[in-house]
Amino acid sequence: MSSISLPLGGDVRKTRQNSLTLLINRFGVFFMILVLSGVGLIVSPGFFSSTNLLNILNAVSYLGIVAAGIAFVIFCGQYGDMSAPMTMAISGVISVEFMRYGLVPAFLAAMATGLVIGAVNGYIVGKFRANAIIWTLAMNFILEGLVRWSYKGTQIYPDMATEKTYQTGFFLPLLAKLDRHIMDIDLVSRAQAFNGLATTYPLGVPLVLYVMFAVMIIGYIVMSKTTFGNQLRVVGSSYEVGRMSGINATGTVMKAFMMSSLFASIAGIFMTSLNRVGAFYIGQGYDFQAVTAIILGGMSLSGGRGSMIGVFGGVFTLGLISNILTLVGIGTFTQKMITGFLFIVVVAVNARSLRKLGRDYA
Amino acid sequence: MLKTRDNSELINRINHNRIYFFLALVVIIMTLGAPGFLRSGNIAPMMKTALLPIMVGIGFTFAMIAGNFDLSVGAVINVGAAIVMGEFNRFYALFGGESAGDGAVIAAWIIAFVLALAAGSLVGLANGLVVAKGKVHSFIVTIGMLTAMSGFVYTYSKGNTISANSYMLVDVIEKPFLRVPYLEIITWRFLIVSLILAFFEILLTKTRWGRDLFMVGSNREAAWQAGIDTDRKVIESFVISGFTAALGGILFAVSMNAAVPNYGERGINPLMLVLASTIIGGTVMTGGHGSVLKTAVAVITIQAIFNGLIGMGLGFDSQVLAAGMLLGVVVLGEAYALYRQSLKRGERPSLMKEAAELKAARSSNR
Repeated sequence: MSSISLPLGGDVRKTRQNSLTLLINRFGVFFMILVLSGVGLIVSPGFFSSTNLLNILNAVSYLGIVAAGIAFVIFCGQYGDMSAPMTMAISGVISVEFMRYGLVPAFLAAMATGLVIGAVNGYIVGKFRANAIIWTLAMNFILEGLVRWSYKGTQIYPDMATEKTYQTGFFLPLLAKLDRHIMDIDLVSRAQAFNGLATTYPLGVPLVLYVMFAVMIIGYIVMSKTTFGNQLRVVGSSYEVGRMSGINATGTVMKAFMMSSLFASIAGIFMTSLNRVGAFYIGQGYDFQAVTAIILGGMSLSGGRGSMIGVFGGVFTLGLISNILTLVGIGTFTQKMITGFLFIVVVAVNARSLRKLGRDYA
Repeated sequence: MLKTRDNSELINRINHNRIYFFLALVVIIMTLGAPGFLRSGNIAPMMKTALLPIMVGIGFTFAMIAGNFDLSVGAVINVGAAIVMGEFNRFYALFGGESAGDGAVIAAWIIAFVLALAAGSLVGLANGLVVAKGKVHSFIVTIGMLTAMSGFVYTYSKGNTISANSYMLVDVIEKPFLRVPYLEIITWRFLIVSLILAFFEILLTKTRWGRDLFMVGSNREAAWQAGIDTDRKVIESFVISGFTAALGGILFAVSMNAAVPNYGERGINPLMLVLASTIIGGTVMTGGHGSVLKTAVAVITIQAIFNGLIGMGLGFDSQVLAAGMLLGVVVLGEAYALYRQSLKRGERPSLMKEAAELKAARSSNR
């Protein structure tokens, strides 16, 4: 018997994961939240007042919506969706264009735009296996060019429209051609309803926050409780394995990107409503922040790992960090720098711990 | 699939030098479409704008040949620019300002250049260490660095434009040697960029260091087996990338006598330009193939397209759109080529040919 036993020491790879490592890997972000809360309490005694907590959540609600979408892309192993900022901007612009026919058409048009962008991204990344970051970065530049070119570099205000306004834009010339009475629409009341979206407080809580929680819950259910979620997990862990086990890998990746762009366009509508102007610079910086939040939340860049609960934790952590740094008196620019370094450290540590576990590269 | 690939020598050679044909085509179209395109008054400013992306493209190409993306260059440009201006002002004041004469200016510029170049190289070193030793994908690391560095530049400059308190260097670096049409592009800045371009092209094509880099990019495992320190090569390529990006930013800031914290954030991003030019110039996204010189030619080609668009009477926003479209087409084309290649992997054309001949012989026998 002894002649067929393994060589001295046997297989040194761990077959079972340390439960503590697993716990930290899965819920590490909530330890971080605990520590940050302690720091916050030291910095300011009023840290846990409901106003401050609501402020923190409100500040990250847009980020939360975007991150919930990009989480799908990262979950299926595609590093990230860098076209989120311009998806937000273009959806905002289009919602302003259609706002004159009511809020519902505005929402539908904006979300349809998002879906189209996501479908294009998803097809090219899923079918041709283009590098997701590089392609979506290119897509972001294309969309920026489109918005700037069709508006000739100007912005679009919900409450103002002259004859000239109807000569620029994506659908405005077409709308003007179809509807001869377009100049008679009372823009002021419609614009009030549109601009009010971001400043509505049902039960004292901003509407955007409800939307964020709704989006996150939907995202959680889709990602963890449905067949599509399981397919995402398989394709995320290994594209080839997913494809060979009979999953339509291209379609799965495409759907993930469509989720991402759809959520980004919802965030874009609210962002535009908050800024009261549709322009190409709405949503700048959200791509990177969202990816940071997702990675903080324990999702691995190699895909197939993590959950929406972690994403919420990551988003909340970023909110806490920003809040504490502001309380200490550190400006937004330095905060940006700190977030960047934090991201690199977290990614490097994450990759290292996964490698230690003998898993894979992140 | 019984089709065999046609690998004729001529097509290969044309494909390798496609960028020169592309440049010629663009120049012909623009000369016909935009009146006055070839005038010296048009060419000189065009070349001047191309100097920054050419410089940045050198390092970017090096990083890509080693199989990595350095997306942080967009911010490192601003790091170089801000530091050289800020540190010059600090040391100029330290040496006594205007009363101290020309010696103080020169000394302050030298110190500022060294500090700014060191900062750029340091960013590259950090990128390289995390990519090579931490085994994290380069575009993830460098996009984090892009954010961190743009935050740093804003913090350093407090969001303001920094100008040097002395005009001496601007006058020297931007003055043409000859006031002759077409030769007026030759300034100190042009010469510096050309010399560095030549140096890195020679380093890449004529030295062992360059050959090793190509090997690391095309097959890291094989390079390691052949005794090349692959991690070190990757780190060195990132340091070069940080160095050239910072130097590009420095020269640009000095020539404008102003360092803005957000150059390229609105409008045509240098990162976008450099990424597009490097791929058009024939550097393969997965590494192992490329040329610094061809990247530079691609930069000039793209600048010619932009310039021609303006000459045709289209506005700045159409330039932004054209730049985005160009990048999109280039990335898509490259991805599609790699996709086709992956479909062909494992295919044995000679065996297929043999099988086809056998089949034909059999059917003729019958």
